[in-house]
Amino acid sequence: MEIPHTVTARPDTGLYNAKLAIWLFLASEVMLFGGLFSAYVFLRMGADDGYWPHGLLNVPIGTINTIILVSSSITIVLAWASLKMRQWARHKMYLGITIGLGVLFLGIKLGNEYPAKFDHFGVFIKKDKWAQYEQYLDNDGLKKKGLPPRPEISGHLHEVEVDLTGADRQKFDDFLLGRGLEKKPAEGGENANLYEIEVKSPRDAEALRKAPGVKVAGFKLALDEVNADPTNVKFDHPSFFLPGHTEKIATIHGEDVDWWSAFYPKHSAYFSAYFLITGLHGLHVLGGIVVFTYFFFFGHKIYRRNPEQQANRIEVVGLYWHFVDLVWIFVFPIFYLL
Amino acid sequence: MSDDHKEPAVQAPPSESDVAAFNKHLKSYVIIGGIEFLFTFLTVGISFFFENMGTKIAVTLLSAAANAILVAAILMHLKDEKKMIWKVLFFTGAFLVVLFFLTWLARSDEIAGVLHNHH
Repeated sequence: MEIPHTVTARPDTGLYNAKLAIWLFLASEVMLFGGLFSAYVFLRMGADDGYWPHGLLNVPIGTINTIILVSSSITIVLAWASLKMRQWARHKMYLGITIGLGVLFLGIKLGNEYPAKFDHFGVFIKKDKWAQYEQYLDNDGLKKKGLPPRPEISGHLHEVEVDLTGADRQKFDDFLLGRGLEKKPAEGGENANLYEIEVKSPRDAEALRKAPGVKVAGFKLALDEVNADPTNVKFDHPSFFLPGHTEKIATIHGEDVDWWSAFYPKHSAYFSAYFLITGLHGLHVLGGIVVFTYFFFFGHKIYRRNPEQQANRIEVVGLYWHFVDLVWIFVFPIFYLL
Repeated sequence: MSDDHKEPAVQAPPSESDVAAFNKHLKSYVIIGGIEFLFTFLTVGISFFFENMGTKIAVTLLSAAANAILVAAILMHLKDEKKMIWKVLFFTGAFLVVLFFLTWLARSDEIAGVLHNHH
């Protein structure tokens, strides 16, 4: 049986079937992302002053990714138009460029942006301990300027201090050996159970947190510029270029810490919303790439039999692709710029 | 669904006038692409221009919305689309408004101590 209305419009809807179907699907997608955006609004509005971070994402990279996605929206519509004009070679060229741009978008996200976050480390200081870390936070200065406080000290994690009072030493040494880490007695040496462990990444700190009987007692991290020089007015507001890192080391005591984590989803409501929405968006990009790739290699079969049907297939997936672009047009400002 | 329905076989190649019309469209797509680039840079620029957060959010999202409308109207051909699609989108928009209204309702009907999150 032949599938009806792949080319001709149904008399009752005035549309070929796949077109109505894709718009109904996109309507459901609007509700899906709408739900997530409303959750974002809810979390952001509920965040205490200073606890919704700004300026943690790389705006130039985000801008480049926006340009890439917008460009791919243009190339896919050109691919469709080429098919309508029965220019197969030109269609394949535009389709290939669209696939390449989609892959580039994902490559930047997965190869640069996410790993940079996973290597970054943040420590939220308890409110009643802010004064002790004023040299890194400058909350008095921010208050005088009428700006929200800065509750977090961030940078690259160098060392984790652990208290091994309740730990099985042999098992712990095996654990360290397994991860290629070494311990040394903590500076000062008043407590024989305190050790410093030089870590390779925040993942080691996460593993130490979960190690049986081990209590994380402090951190040494190489500060981000914003915490190394917190009184500098250029850090009062987010800037286009992401502030860099310094070699200035800060020691933070475990008892002063409210919460610590790498820039993982669990770091904050901001990052959980960021990874969820951009992750889901990334999966949509991947879905589009898979379908485009299928059409790139196998689309000629239908094209030979009925070129208008192939043009309609490209139009339908193109509509989906434009929607993915459209979602990003809002994702970019709400996470990177606002 | 009728089993006797037959889709037209291989279509005739487009006429010269059709090709000319498409070529005109192609130019407009490329121009729209350029305008979208401009809107992207504009969105980034104005987000760093305003210091007041309320103004910044409103103007930046307005710029992003203008960019999104271009994509929907021109690239997704919504401006020439059939009534059926518009009906679907009207209901989607209405449900979306209700969804955000619920968010607003939850915020305005706050139960002390449950909404604020530190992280």
